[in-house]
Amino acid sequence: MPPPEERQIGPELAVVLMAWIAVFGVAAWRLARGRDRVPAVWFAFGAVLGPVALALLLAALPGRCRSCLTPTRGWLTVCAWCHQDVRVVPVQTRILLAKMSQAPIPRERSGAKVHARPMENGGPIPWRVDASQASGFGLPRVGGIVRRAADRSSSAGVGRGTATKDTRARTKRQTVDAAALATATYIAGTTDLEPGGRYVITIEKSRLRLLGPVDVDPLAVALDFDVADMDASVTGGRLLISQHRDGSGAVLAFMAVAGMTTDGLASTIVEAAREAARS
Amino acid sequence: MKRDAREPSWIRWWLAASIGPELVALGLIIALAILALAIAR
Repeated sequence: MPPPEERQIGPELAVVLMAWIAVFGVAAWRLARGRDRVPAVWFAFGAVLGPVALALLLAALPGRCRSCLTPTRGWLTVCAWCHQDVRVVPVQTRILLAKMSQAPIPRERSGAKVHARPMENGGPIPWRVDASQASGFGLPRVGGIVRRAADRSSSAGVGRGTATKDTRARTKRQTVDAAALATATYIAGTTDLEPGGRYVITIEKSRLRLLGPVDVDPLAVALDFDVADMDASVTGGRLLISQHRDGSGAVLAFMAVAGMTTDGLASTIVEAAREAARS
Repeated sequence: MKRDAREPSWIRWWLAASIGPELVALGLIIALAILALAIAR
């Protein structure tokens, strides 16, 4: 019996194979990156499946919900966390990010180094909301922060209700100058913020304020703390903000921090607290 | 509570939630490999 012939790949076929892998692998890599999916995995799929992998990626939903950045599940179009359409960035968030991304980025604030991270839309990190940038929200012409009348009565801020359409109608607007550090999605805590709601985190003089939810009123003060009382840390990628009190202080957990890294935001709050405690 | 008629059945929901694009791609690769083996024989 004659030995089986050894099959060899000719040089032309090798070139075609390499080109196939390079073209479809890289195309799948780039497409996966834009859709918040794992690029290395899709490079492999693209290299093997070619245009089929690209078609699959085009048909696939984004890997993370566009509203709250929670990882999506399979082909479900509704987010399991925030119940929004995972493909759609809420209009309010888009406007807010666009407005905030026009703001200048200071190199340092309160002695703390700011960890800048480019936004998804390619703009700089959101930093400061002022009147000219916030005009799209129907805000006062000067300043930029709306503070509800109920929030002005005390400054501890624990246990307050969140803004609704009804409360917004009764809102008394007070302008203050505030530095918007980042936005983050509230998960849980001892306060009655809306779980799943995205809030703007600001530090103004000695106050740490949470504004929002951004889809209801991005400039309504939901919580207001003395920053000197506050501590912040990062656990499992989640931001924990707590108040120094014996068992009665507020604790808030956030996810999906946008505008700064979670570590950068925590260190900025800690630095601001130290500075406020010193002065 | 009355179920919404547009709501998918639990099995459809489970399939949609479990089988993502990555799993479909993996399934296609396995199918291709089996096909290639069958042709090679």
